[in-house]
Amino acid sequence: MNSNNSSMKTGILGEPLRIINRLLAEKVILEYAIAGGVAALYYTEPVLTYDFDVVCRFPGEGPLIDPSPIFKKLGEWGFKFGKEDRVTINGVPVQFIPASPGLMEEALNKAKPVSVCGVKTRILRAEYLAALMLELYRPKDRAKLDLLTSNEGVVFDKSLFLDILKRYKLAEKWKRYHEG
Amino acid sequence: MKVESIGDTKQRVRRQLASLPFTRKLDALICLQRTARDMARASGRPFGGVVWPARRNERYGKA
Repeated sequence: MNSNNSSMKTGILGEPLRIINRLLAEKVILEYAIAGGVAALYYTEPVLTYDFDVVCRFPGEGPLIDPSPIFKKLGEWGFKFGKEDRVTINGVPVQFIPASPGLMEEALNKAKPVSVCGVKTRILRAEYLAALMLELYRPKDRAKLDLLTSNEGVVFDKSLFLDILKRYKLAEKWKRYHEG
Repeated sequence: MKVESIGDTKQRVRRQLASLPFTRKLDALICLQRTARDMARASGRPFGGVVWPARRNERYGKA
C-alpha cells in the first residue's frame, strides 16, 4: 500500500484519498467528506493541523454506529492503527468520524464534489464547516471559525450560514462569539 | 501617495494566502508542522503532533 511515487506526483493527500475511495467502492463506508483542519485549509489561509479528518456514513440503520468494518478492512490491507483510532496512510494520520445525526449529517449530505491532489472526493462546504466549529467550540475550533468567517478571500454564503445557525439553534452562540 | 493601513495589508495578505493552490497550502502546512516540532524540541516540551512527509521539489524549507 505504500506508494510514495504516486504521492510525489499527486500530493500528500492523494494516497489517503485513494484508499478512502476504495473503502467507498467496497461499501465499507457509504459516503464521506473531508472535514476538520484540512477542510479549513482548503478554503482559507494555511492553518496548523496534524490529522486528516473525514466524516463518514456507515452501512446499517439505528442509533448504534459500528465503524469496526473500516478497521478490519484497513487491517487486511496492512495498515496499523495508532492512538484514538487514527490510521496512518502515506505518513498522514487519518481519522474516520461517524456523521452524527443533525448538523454533521446534513453537512455530509450537502458536501461538494472537488478534486484534491488529483483525486475526486467531497469536502464539507465552508458554511457547514464553520457551523460545526461553532458547535464544537474548542479553542482550535474557534481559531478556525475566525479564519473561515473573517477572511475576505473565502467564498462564504453568509445567508446559508445564518440559516444553518438558526435551524440548529446556534444563532445565539454565534452572536455571543461575534460580540466577544 | 496612498498609504495602506495595517488592517488593509493584513486582510490583503490573508486574501492572497486563501487563494493559493491547495497543494501549496499543504506545503505550508508541513512547514508549520515542522516549526511546531522544532519549537517544542528547542524548549524541551514533548511534541504530540505528526509531521507529514513532504513532496519532492517542495517550496518551503528542506525535506
